[in-house]
Amino acid sequence: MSRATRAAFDEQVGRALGDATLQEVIRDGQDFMQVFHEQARGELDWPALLDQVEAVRSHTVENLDYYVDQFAANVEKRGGVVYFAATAQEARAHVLALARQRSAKLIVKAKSLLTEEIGLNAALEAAGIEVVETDLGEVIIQLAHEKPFHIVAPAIHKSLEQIRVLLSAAAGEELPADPAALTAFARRFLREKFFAADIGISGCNFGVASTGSVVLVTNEGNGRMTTTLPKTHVVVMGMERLVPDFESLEPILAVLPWMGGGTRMTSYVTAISGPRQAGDEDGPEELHVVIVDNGRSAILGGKYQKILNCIRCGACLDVCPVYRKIGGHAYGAAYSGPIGAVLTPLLDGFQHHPELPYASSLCGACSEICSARIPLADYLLELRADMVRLGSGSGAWQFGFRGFAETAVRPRVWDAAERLAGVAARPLTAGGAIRWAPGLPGLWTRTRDLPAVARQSFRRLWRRRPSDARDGEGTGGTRRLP
Amino acid sequence: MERAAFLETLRRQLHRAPGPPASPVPRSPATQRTLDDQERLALFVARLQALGVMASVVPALEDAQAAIERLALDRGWLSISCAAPLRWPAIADRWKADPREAPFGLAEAELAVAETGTLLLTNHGPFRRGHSLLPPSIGLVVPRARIVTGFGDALRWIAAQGPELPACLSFITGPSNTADIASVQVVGVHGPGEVFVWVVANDEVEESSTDGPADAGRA
Repeated sequence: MSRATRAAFDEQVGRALGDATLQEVIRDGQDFMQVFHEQARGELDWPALLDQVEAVRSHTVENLDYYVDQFAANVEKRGGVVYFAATAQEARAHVLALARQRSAKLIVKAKSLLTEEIGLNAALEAAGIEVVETDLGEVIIQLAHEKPFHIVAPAIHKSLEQIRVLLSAAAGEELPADPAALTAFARRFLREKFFAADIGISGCNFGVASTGSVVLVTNEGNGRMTTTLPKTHVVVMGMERLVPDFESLEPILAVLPWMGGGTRMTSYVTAISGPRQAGDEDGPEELHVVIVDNGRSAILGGKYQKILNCIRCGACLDVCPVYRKIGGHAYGAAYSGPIGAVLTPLLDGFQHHPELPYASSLCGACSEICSARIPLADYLLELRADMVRLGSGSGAWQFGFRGFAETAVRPRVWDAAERLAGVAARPLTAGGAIRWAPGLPGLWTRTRDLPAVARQSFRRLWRRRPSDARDGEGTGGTRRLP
Repeated sequence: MERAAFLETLRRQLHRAPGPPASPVPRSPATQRTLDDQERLALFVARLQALGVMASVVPALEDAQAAIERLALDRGWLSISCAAPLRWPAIADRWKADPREAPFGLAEAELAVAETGTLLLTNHGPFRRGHSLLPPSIGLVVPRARIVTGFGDALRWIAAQGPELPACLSFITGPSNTADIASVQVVGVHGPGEVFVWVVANDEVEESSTDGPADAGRA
């Protein structure tokens, strides 16, 4: 997993904020999806559905050892081969070994956040293997050498013209700025790749433990192509992506298409149970399933366990006011938005992503929309507390809050600090606001104004309130301040 | 990593002893509406049409076949990819097993879901995945009696088949589509951009295909 430095985070944020077109694209994308959120809530018994999704996901994660074991045994019964990977490195090694054993030169991939998380493409390409993404959004960002901007719509930030230029370069000819024509080119270009590929790699939306089935939820059909045409199909999946049985998918498949794509159902839901069986005239001859931990087991049994309930619908990104401004690349990892701000530090160590838990206004919109009822805003706050407890905040941060704590419990010191702040702020105040400040306060005024320090503090106003108001003190009545 | 060590890590973290869960799998209470046959059919057709699918209700299987013959003639389709058990003699010269180059693919659905306009195909033996995936246009035939109300009904049907499922089950809801370029909806990205559905009102298909897809996959 890539590790974003603070400077890289700031740079990406600055870039997003300074790009008026991008701001418009993100805003339109969020507004577009929120219409569907409303439609879904009107059409279905939404609270009951979310309760059911939460119940199924929690039950699965609470008994994950059992379901992983059952799933693996059933994949093997159907003729699949299962690998267990404790780390990203192990997962990459399993896939690389498979590719080498089959002398693979070309691999086609269906969209998979996990392979992005473990950096699989780079490892395969370093071994001289051509890796071709086949989800249209993923194709676009692969050509642009970028990370996904959104967990469901990876190229949502790209304008029509930018996409036209990228696909024209791949085509070796100028393509028109027409989504239908560009899509038609992608179909022709990728179909050749599907037919020529030695291996197809997919993720797994859900693994059905009772049958060992891998369920893919897609719209384009590239998931079906990837799991039908190449002789070898490799599934790379996070170990938590299981459900006990097919019936458990009912509430999840009622919610996911609405939240992820604004439809009652995706174009395709495909359940793969083993490689092609005797007598089957198509389908891959081999099925390999790599089950990946990569930091997930450290979350199990702890206070953040429900983050593993996530069904990757992307709804939290579509309502987040911070994502609306900074976009997906600032999160510096496969997962962006509120889910990324929580999951990435937990998987990769928050010392490597100290800015992510703060990439939130804590408004709670993410918790409210979450399809699996994950308390994302609470988790963000808890992560901040953990970071401070473990001393991973900056020295200035620690010093600042320690100073505040010491001052806040000493009324005289507090009074003096207030007066000092008032005096210090006076030369910086103009038009009722402080627009520039030196040192630490300058970090704030670099992007926002500070309100001017009030002439009189609340405490002073309180002491000077009229006597009739003071008479009501202790009665519990409403008091009006001057 | 070895499986035993992998699972042991999970058990240790979860403070669980080996064995099945202490509580049963939480089940969803039935939330879907109750529809009679006529309402189910009407809803299914309405959902298909909203998805851009050309849906027709025909009295008998022969009527669907005649419609396909007319379509092939109108469009100049010289080949139709289809599993051998579904073919009929009138257009014997056009049948093709390999769907890679065919302009039209034909398949029969195991079930259909009214609330979502979805058709469930079981792919096994000669009933290839490619027939409903590779051609730019596809036709799906489903007997009216196989339309269920909600997606949950279809999932319960799969669960009732036992562990010996076909290697591939495909739920298809409308054409292949994307909005990845400038949020503009485009159909036919990788899969078919054009989908025809014929709902056969009588039960002839059900009866005629006891050795075919209708019973395949059932334990």
